[in-house]
Amino acid sequence: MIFGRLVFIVMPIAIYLAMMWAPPAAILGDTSRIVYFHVPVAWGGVLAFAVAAVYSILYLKDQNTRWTCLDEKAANSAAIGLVFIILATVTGSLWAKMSWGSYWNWDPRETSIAFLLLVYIAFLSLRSVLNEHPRRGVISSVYLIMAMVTVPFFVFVAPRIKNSLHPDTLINAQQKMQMEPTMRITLLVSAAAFTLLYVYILAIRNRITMAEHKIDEYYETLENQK
Amino acid sequence: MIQSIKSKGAAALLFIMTALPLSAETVSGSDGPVFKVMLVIMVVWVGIAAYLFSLDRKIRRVEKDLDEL
Repeated sequence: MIFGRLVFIVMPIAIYLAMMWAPPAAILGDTSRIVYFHVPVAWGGVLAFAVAAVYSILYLKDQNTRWTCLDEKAANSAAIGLVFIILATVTGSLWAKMSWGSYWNWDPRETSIAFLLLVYIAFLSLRSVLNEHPRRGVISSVYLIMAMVTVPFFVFVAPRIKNSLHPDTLINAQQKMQMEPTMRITLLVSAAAFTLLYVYILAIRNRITMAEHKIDEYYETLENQK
Repeated sequence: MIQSIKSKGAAALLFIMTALPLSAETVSGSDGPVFKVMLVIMVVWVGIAAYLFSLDRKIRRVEKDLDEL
């Protein structure tokens, strides 16, 4: 939690570096500054989906014997990840308008991110439908693990199958960040800021979940005593 | 303790912001459009941060009450 609170310091630094310190890119100019928000939110989304899958694996192994509410925590992480990916899509779309002239081009990367969004929107719908189902935790955990399996395919594989207008991602064939040092530092600080933001929001949501669980337990004990 | 961390953090933030030179290519200074965009983003961030902080404090209060049950 204390680690997550660092976001209050790191985020303003990241905003300052992105807007005032990093130089504009050679051809794209100042519009390139959106990269310091677009890439970190996309990274935050993928991280959130990975954490949701880890929580789900732990839930299936543990079944609430050692830890409580693991499936709820997995759903919390997936919901935050979905918001992050929506933000990555919006920032990407704005950038596409500025550099390609249109908000949406059905580019392989845009199409694959749209599929990824659908996978996680379907998860939230499924979970809300299974509200009173006794095996809700198991079903949603299995879904989240299966969904995570598709993430590397949609993020890294599918956009490379056909030629794309999208620039080469940071994880590329050369395994090098093709950026000048000031831009690289800014991007790393921004990625750290959005990671902290994710950690902080997840911690808050998990604490709410645990508080709700305690209140439910309290009312159950009261009813049993009657 | 928290007050000391907060003041140290604010001091570090101010130091970093004044120590880093503006990039030469940026349309810099307080009149530049990029500066104005940064101010807007900062205002939005202050709003989000204030909301998260108040939420954090409220949950801490609920957790305290639950521990006393």
